Amino acid sequence: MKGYRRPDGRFGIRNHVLILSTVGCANMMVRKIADQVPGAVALENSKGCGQVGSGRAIMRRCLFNLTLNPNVYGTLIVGLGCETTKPYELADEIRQVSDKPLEVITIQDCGGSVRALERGVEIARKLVEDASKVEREPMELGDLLLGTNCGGSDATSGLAANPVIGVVSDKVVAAGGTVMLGETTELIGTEDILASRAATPEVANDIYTIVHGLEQSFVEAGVDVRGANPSPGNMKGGLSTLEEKALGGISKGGTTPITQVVPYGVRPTESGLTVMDTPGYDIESVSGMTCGGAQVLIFSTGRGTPIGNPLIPVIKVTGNCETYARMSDNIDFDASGAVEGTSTIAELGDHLYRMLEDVCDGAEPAAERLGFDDFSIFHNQEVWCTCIP
Amino acid sequence: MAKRALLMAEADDVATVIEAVCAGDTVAVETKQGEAVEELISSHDIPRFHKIALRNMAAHDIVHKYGQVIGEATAPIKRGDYVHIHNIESIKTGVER
Repeated sequence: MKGYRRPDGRFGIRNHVLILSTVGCANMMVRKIADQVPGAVALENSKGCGQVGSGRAIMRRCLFNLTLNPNVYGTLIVGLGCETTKPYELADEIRQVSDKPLEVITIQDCGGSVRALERGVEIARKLVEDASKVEREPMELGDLLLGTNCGGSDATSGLAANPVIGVVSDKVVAAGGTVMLGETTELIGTEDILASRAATPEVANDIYTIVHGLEQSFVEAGVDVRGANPSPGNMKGGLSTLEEKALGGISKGGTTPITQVVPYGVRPTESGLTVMDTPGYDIESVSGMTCGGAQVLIFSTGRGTPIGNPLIPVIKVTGNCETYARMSDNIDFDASGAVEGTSTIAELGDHLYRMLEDVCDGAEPAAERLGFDDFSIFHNQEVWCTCIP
Repeated sequence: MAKRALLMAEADDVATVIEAVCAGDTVAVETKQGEAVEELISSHDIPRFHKIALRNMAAHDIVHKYGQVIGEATAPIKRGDYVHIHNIESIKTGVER
């Protein structure tokens, strides 16, 4: 396995130049810059201004941590200039912890969109040129931070796809790497099992805190989590309850002790199996893990889903042979043999592990090949609307 | 020939049918390792990858799959019945009861 060594000693499996928008008002600009510079990746912002409290804090740390993702060679931050995420201050803070190439412009300081585009393209071209000079060096499996996620689950996800991913997770952890489990909505009902696997009492406590905290938020909001979970497609696929879905979901983390629980978008400091507190909405969950430093993610699906990510390859696994046949352009790995009785979870886990190695060495899974760059940072604490019925 | 169903843990109350089942079909339950456990007759049509009851349950009985709690019965369920959202529900609903 080979990767791109970064100044902090971590290894990227891709070598992206990131054009990062700090606010929605700069989204068209990052898109236009990246369009003119092959090799640059635009990352649009679903918000970035008008945010308060934890909503603002989450946005800031996610933008900060995205530039640190090992798959990123360097970043051009593009702001409007007056947004709450404060682009220059953000760049200064990042420079205090990172020696990666980092540039910042704002549309207001450049004197409008035309000049900002010109300046942005110039900077991005230089970054891409410099990035192309980085040679790939040998890296270890233990250098990986592997994200995991489910989307469009059906009953086969828990029977085959997730346990097969679990085999790969165990291999990564055994090699000294890090695996991330998320989607707190889909941990509800499994908190006792997860807490019993916690490496320390503090970690067990953190697991209960995120799961019970979420349950409490549902109670306080007076909403029934069943309105969204299991989703209509989950139910059509044979999943009847939240607990059933969750029990099938956690097997993708494998069987090792849980070493740390991290907030949304935060990079774990421990190796081993970690949990990130992410929402059940797939694009926000995968985006949070990208902020948290995952270089690659394995995604199980029963019903089939196309989503990808701009910075990390997303490998799709299904345990449903009909879905694999019907959506073969979106799905990379068929784990249905474990359901049909033609192969074992362990055998399929070995095959999936080899696919992971190939992807780390440059093979493009379906979502990456198709150019799917879905991205959204979770934003809470929306305070603006009195919501007149 | 009997239709296959997968049992995820020994003490489970339900198994997952691996092919679509019609009322009256014989269903052969096996473990993940492929060992035969038991056979039963389905009382209902059951879609592929949905669940069949392995024992009788009363309303409010806890339902197990993966050796864990997946919810509770909302109506009496007989061995061989189709088990889904019409007769079981989450215990963790987010709504105080």
